[in-house]
Amino acid sequence: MANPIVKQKEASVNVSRGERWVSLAAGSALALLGLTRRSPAGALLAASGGYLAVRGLSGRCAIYQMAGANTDHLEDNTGFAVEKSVTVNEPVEAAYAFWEEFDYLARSLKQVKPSAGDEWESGLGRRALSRFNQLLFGPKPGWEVEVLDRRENERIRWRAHTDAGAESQGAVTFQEAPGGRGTEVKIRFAYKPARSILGYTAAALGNEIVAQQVKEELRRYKRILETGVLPSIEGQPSARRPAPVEEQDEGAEPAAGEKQLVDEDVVTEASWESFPASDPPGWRDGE
Amino acid sequence: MKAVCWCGVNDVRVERVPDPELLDPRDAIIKVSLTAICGSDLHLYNGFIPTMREGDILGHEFMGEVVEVGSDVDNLQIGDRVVVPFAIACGSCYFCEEQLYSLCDNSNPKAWMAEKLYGQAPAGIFGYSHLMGGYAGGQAEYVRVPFADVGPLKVDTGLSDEQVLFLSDIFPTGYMAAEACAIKPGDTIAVWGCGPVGLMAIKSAFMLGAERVIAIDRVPERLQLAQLNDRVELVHFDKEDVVEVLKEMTAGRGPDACIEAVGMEAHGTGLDWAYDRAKQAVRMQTDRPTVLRHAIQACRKGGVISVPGVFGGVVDKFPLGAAFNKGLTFRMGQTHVQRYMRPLLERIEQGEIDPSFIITHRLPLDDAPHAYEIFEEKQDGCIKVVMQP
Repeated sequence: MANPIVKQKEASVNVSRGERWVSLAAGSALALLGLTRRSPAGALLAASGGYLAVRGLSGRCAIYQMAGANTDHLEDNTGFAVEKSVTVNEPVEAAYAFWEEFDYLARSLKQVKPSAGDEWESGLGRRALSRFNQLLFGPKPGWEVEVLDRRENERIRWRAHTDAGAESQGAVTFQEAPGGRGTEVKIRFAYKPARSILGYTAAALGNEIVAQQVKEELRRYKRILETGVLPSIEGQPSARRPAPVEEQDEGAEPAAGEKQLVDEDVVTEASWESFPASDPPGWRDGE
Repeated sequence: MKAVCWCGVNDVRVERVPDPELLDPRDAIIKVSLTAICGSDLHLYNGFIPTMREGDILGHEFMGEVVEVGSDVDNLQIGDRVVVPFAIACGSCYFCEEQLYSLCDNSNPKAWMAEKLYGQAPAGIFGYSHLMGGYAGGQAEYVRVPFADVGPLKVDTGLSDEQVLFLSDIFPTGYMAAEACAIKPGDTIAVWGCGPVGLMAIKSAFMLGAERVIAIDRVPERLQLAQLNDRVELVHFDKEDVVEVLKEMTAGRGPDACIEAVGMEAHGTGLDWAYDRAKQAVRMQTDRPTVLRHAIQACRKGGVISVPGVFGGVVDKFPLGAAFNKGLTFRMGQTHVQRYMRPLLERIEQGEIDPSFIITHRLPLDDAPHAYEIFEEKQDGCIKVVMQP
């Protein structure tokens, strides 16, 4: 066991190495810029820059501490934390087995990819969401996942990272809901975003979006487990024209002056029906 | 195909749109034989339900013939004649197992949107805004029905379309509202609104053993229709102080249960109505709870307020103190249609009720814009429009 005092000292450092360098460099620059301007705004700039520089030197960030974030030591409860759960109307054994079978762990970590049924993504604007995920986890996320341990019908713990230096560690747990209400499936994890100032900004401002993506992943899991399908309205008729694609059929152009309704949500990728065949999981345990 | 599309506030049009296709193995495609405009469609028409998109196909009361079934639908055959419940239910979640079909966990593809507004998401509904899933509706020649192995009811008796169409919504809705009153012998039930749902609630209240039913409205033909068909007592809310009259009619006790079959666009008289109308007009409240206030005020102590009328957002000046101190019970929500279709079909077959008595207008689908207009303006004695594609 580690010496408790040493551990205490380590624990107070909550900013990762890469981020400390960025913080020091950006902070010093801001501080210098602020000092050259003799104005209240300049003073503010100098103070903020000074804080960033000190944070970079010391590795301790009071704001991270208040937010419970830690980008240096990633444990289940540090870093940027996400916790989401769902109740599925199935026994624990079925809930666990289905999770394993379809490899939801790898899937939920994967870069979000539009597929029919991802109504939440289409509501937000898929391109914006995809852009956000790229900032957060790196342009080519492809998580490398390592399972730390798995206890049948109880939990799976994992650790993962991307090429861009994003890391995550967490667990999915399965617990019987009271009164025969099925199984409570909970994902808890912490992550460090990609090693860039944009990555950290995205995480600091958009952790809710990450959490919502996890929630939607749990919803898809529940729906396929309970009903066998993922209810969707993509592909149904409306009086909106499909959004223009290359090689638009000229005959379909409405008369000039007529009001045009355009569907903005374009489906460009494989349909859900072909899941998981079209969408192989990035990782399989023990293979 | 032709379909009735929402193109903006007070703007519905019949448009040419692509035919629907099977999107899931549990889907079916129905060729619509008869469809109706619901009073709740007027909330969409008037722009009081958020998240409508221009071009959405309207309609949640419809029936027709099965023309295509997905590979997982084993209870329907091509050619079957079916009535389709307005709320879509998966049949396997906790809520469906509890027969709370309109609260289905899985049928709303835009659940995240409803969760932001309501905490949890109710079931998807045909043609009723993206908050309710954004499903294309049934005021069209064809419609795609998801979870077709759960919802649609096969009707192979000699009953006409008009006699069974309202099993899709308003008959079960009126019935569930009356059932929620837990009617005991001797009970007096007051029903606000003699539109289609109110009329069904009146019928159902008598079916369930109510001693007296008091109907409240101000539209002459609606009051007339309520009276023609039952031993109903009428109160005209423009001419009388409803709360006082109800108390007098029950020797001070108040009605044992009050059914609010009006919803978010209530009309009334006096200051509180003017207040509601003004606040709604400037978007400071989404719903007008005028009738709900009267019901709370009139209801007997320990009584039930049953609300089949549709509400969507927030209301103002809700007299919670009166409701609390009188120990009232509130029952409300979208109808669990699937639970009631079969028993209510039996009642129709046995001749206990013929729901087609409310139909005042039979029009082709092409006349939908006109139909919405006269229904909204209550012109030409319009109470219920059915349309044939």
